[in-house]
Amino acid sequence: MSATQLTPPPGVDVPRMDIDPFSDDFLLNPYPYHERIREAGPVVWLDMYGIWAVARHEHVRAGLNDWRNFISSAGVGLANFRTEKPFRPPSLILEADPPQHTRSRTVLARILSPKAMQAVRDEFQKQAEVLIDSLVQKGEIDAIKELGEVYPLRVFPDALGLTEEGRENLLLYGNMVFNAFGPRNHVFMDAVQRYEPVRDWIMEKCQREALRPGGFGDQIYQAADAGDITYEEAPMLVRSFLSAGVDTTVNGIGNAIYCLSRNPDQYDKLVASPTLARGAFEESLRLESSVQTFFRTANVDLEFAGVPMRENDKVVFFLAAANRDPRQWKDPEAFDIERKTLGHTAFGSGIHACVGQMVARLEGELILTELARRVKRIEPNGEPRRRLNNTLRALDSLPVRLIPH
Amino acid sequence: MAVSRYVGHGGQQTELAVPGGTGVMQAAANSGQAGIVGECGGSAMCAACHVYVDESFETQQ
Repeated sequence: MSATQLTPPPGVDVPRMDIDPFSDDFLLNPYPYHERIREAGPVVWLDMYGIWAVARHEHVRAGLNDWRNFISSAGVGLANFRTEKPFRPPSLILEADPPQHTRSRTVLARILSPKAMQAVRDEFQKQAEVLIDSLVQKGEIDAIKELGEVYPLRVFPDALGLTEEGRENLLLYGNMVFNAFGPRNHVFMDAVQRYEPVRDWIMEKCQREALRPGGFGDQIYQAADAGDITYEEAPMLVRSFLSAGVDTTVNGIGNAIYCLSRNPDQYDKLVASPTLARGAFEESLRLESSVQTFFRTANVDLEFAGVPMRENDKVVFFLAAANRDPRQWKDPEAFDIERKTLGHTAFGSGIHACVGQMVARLEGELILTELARRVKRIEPNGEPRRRLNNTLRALDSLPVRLIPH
Repeated sequence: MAVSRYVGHGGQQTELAVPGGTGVMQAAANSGQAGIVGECGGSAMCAACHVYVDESFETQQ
């Protein structure tokens, strides 16, 4: 097995760029960089890390759908698990290939199915009503600290079956995990430092005793009871819920409020027809994708978009750049809540597409519906502050004023 | 090109010529067929589509 190469294959005519997709400047405003990469070619070589970058919609989808050639078991971040030690025991679903992936996925997909969403919908809706009601009373709010973080931390751990105490630790865990898909830069080091004190808490919550019987977490252990997975696999799959289920939706909701507060004409449309809420959430995912990137690893020597790649080459797929590719989207920078967003890659694509996407959609739909029902306008009330993360498009603070009907 | 035939809830039929390799859902959604939501983009998560494969196709790729 060959080691990761730091230069493109000799004699290959491919654009080479010195862009660092994990620099502060890139993370603060990735879109001009996305455009440069996208327009340079279907595949470019990034010299700084010795990786391929793919940013066009057609090729991002094609690559993500080709799980045989572009594998996940060698890591879906910059690190290559074949040649480097993983920073944590690899995920049994995210960082796995079939047949392991299929086993894990079958269990999680059942627990997070549309039918299961119907079962939790009333409770999620009640919580959305309670929260938006209290925020309307306040008027001036931070849409991240008081809404984006609060709602997912209420409903998702409830559905999972976690106790109330310490839930904010999930934010530190998610922040660290998504940073770890990038290099060991200052953003990652800072996230690790803040995560360390809660490490034991997280691992403890993966155990059956910590999970309310009947909740999503306990259902994983029930799958082990039934023999679908082993008892060793169960806590690892609960860990996937804890790492992927909160910081993603925190930012999904935060980014949606960001888009709606910056596009009052679109918010007016939502108020006039609250059934547009689901489409509005989807469009904000397209325009401001919570998860910006995922990596794959070439399993064999192969050719992709006419470019020869070598076994073990790492490839970064820019989900967020695909979602603004003018080859795919008309007027891609515009926020249009009535746009047909089918085919966006904010949840990935193919066998690894987000298994929790129906939870995310449910949360987004309910919050936006309740806002439309209670709030006439969402006005910016100060400069938003970004939270840098190697993978996530995240806000730390988003001051807005809610003007009730 | 292959031919995909769509039958709506009301019995109305539409035939589409689609390039080989195109998903049945994708082709329907691209041409705006009513009733095809495709919310999850084909990742088998939203349960808006159900597929029944006739036994006679079992041996075909």
